[in-house]
Amino acid sequence: MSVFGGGSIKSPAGKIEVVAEGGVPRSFGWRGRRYAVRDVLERWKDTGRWWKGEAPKLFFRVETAGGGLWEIYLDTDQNTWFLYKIYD
Amino acid sequence: MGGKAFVHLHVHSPFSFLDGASAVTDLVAAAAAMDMPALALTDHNNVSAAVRFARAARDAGIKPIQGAEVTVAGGYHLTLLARDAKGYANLCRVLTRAHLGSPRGKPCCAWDDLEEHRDNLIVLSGCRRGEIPSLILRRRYGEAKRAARRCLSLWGKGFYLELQDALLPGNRFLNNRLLELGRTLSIPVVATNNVHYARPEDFPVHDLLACVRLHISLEEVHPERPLNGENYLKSQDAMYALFSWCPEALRKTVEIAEMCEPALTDEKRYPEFPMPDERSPDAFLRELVYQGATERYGCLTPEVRERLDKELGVIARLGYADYFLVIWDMINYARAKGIRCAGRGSAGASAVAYCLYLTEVDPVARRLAFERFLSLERAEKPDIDIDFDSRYRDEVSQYVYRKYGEERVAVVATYSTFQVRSAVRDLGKAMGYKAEETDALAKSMPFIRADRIVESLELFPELRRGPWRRERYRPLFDFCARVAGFPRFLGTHLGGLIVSGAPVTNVTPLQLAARGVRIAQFDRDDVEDLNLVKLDLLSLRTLSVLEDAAEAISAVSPGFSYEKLPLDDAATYRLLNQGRTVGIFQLESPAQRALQARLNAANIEDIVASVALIRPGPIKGNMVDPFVARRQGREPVTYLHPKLVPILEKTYGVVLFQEQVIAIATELAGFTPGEADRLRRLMTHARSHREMRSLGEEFVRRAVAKGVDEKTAGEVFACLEGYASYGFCEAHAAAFATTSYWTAYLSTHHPVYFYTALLNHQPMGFYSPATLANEARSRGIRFLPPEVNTSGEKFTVENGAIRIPLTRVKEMSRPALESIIRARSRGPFFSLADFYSRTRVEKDVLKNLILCGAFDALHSNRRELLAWLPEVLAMSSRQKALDFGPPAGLADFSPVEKYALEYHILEMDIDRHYMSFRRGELRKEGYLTSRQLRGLRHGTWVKTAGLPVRPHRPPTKSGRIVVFLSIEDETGLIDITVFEDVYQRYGHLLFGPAPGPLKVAGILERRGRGVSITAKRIERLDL
Repeated sequence: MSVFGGGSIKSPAGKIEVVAEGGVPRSFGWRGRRYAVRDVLERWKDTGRWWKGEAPKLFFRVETAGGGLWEIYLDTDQNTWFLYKIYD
Repeated sequence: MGGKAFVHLHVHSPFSFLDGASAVTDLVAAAAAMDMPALALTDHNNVSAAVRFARAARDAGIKPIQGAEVTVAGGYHLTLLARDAKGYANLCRVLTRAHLGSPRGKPCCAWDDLEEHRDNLIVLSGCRRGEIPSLILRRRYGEAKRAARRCLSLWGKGFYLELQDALLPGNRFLNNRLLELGRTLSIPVVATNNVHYARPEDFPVHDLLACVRLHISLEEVHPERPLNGENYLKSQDAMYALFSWCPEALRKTVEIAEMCEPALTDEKRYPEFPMPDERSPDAFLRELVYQGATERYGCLTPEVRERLDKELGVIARLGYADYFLVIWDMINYARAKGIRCAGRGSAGASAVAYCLYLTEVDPVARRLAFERFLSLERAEKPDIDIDFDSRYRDEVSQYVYRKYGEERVAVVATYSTFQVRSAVRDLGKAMGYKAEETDALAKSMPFIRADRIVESLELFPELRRGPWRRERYRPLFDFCARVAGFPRFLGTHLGGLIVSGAPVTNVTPLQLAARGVRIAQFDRDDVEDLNLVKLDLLSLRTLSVLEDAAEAISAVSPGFSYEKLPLDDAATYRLLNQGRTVGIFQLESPAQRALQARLNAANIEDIVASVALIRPGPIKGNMVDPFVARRQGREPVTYLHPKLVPILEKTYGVVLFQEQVIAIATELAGFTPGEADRLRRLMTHARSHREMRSLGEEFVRRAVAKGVDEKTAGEVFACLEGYASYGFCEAHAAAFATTSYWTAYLSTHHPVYFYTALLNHQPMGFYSPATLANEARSRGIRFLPPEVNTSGEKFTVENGAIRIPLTRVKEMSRPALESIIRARSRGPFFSLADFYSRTRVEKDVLKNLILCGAFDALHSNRRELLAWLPEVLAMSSRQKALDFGPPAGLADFSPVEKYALEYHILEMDIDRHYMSFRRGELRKEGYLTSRQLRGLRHGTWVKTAGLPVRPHRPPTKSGRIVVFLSIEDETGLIDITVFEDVYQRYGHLLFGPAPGPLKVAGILERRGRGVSITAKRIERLDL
């Protein structure tokens, strides 16, 4: 419904595979590479279009070991992670 | 308080107006269920929920912390909490300044005011819309620091930085910076959750209400909409999980709660009357009362003295002398100004009020228990309602403001809550339903609570036939149910005026209402709980009608005064006995008309009983028939015990009045009058059979102790049990009955003046002007059409007929009316062209004036005038109106066409009723007029037709629906009863957006002189 922050989307959103502990992502894989999460900078929850039956999404803005800035989210209905943004 | 202790200090209720989605009681219950020791309430810029919050918290055993989230300069939010009563008073003053010093509806606190009233407040930096968080989020860290320093300098240790984590983007950054700022400036931090609802599942309601507030639909994005559903009343565990990184912020919530004391105290805030000399208010009141008593009673009997002394003693003990003096003074002012007024309600049971001329009911003669009004045992606030001539009520209010000062007077508020229509419209729009759809739905809904829609769809046939049972409306109805009763607006109470001995802003903020008056933020119940006393200055249009009629009658019969009228005029009672009571105060509803037609009222006491009988309680309790039967001698009047004779003889052995319940408990069971009134109230509100049985046991025990045998005592209690909750206040009924009689007298002897005055004070009463005019016509009164040279602003009497005013003409504006009257004062109009050249009123007004016959006296062919109108409108200001005239030779409108146009423009008939045009065809089909029906036998199968008047569904004892309505034709009204089975078949014809004329067939019922039809078949009469 609403998106926080600036930056540019480098790649369209897509499913990713995430290793999480206590609901917090520790690493994720994308396009054959694995990225370790160094720090969770922000997290937020977007309830989405509840009136259409959408489930909430949990967003994480993470810094990876290589210094990349990413936004990924968990669709709580499908229990599936997606890549949302990559910051330049 | 060990373990994970936490208190929510930032909480919104529905009194945040479209920004809170759980009732105060639900919020308190949720906090109590989680064993939280306290809870704060911080609605936006108001404390309207403070009283109910304090009450709910007390009941739940938790500490209420009163507060508000205020808006400060720049539109920033700031959370204020009252440490105690002094802090609460400061909060009220800050809010008052915020409201009165800003445009209405946009309160804003000035920092100077916050500084002036800073004591005993705890201040939190607020949500993301707080100045400090907002600046931090915009990376203006230096400015945020300066803002924090300012707060610190104002509130010192009472200032906290508020940390919130409702899983919003930027929270981690914001909270880290706030923590850092706190450490730098030594400001403690405190965790809150900016609560807007009690449970996670209430989030959709909050989001939907936000859409209503922001005038957007659910599909639209808006920065003020909540991103997620995390703003609920989270448990201690949940808050500790969120703030595990900062446990001190959690601990602080408990410390703050411990610092706060309940802010609403029991201190009395009664008015203080400015005494003329050194005497005490009690002594002055005594003197006035005895002076009045001598005038009222002449010789003061021991009974009167004893009564007055007793009342004065109670008034003194409870500290209400000033209150009586304030009302006495106000009434004196009104009388001196010639403003008609009359006390009503339970104050009629006070001899003190009678001797001060606050009421006109003599409670000594009526043997009314003072305790129905005031007692030491109950110690409730006295409630004296005064009716004023509606035109001058505000003038009296202004006097009260001048006398006691603006800071000590305020108008009581009302909370307008979501009702079915507003809920359907507001929520429907936000949910994306089409406006036409929600409008049609809202219009088709009866006046029910917003949580009763679904059951109503099954109950009411007019709804069952519509499309509303489709699944697509279900989500809307579910949400309507969830907001039912939530406040929507703060409004102005019709007559409640708080007068306090101290500034009212000690306990309530003031704000401007739409009418421009300064209102408190509390309604009448809350005001009483705050130990404030209110005066009820009610506006009664009937008094205006009486005044107007009396003035007009005096012009032709000098010296006429209705107050001097005998109360036993035979002709007046004859009119009542015919049930011809349309327009008569309190006696005009169909049920009252039916009662009058069979009661055979012969004295004022019958009218007193009538006023009390036609109420939901007595009707549901089936009290009407036994009363009438005994009144007419058809049933023997019996008493269960000889002691009941003096108490019940005026109502023929039937317990009709609340005062009688008090008297019975006193005389038979030895209750003190105060205890007896408490018993009456307990019986009225007894929730369970067990409670009632326990009351009965006490009654019987005490009656037996007084020598009444147990069986009789039990029977008397059973009788009281049956009637207690239905009884009506005799003092109130007696106060109204005299006014009813006066209007009945005028209707009997001076009908032209009476109906003229009545029509001039619409809307009031039960019927539309069209029905009132029809009733007047059926009494032989002629109506004259509006006429440009004669009609004015009001209905007037002209040669024994009633002239319809220009204000009835559709589209007539105040400037147009004034322009016509001004031009006419320089000489009459002689043509349409002359009229237009001198008034320049708008085309639509001119057209309507032509079509309703207002120019008939100048030119009788309306179609020719209409054809001439374009030329007249094109006439230049230099053209002489005499130079030209209307085209000739056009056929005028037919009488039916004229009638239809007149009715459309005036919304009333002039000289004949719509049904008279249909009479020929209806007669052939066997349809009878209401007058013809009056001559038929009970049980006859009849058919009638006419316009439906006021169909309504009053509550019934059985719970089954019965509809009452009247059918109006050219000869008057006939009442129709529609029982559930017939209603279920034809209800859609009675209720709905635009019910038209109806044909009704059924069984004629006769009761006394009254005639009605029990409907069996209803059809629409084709137009």
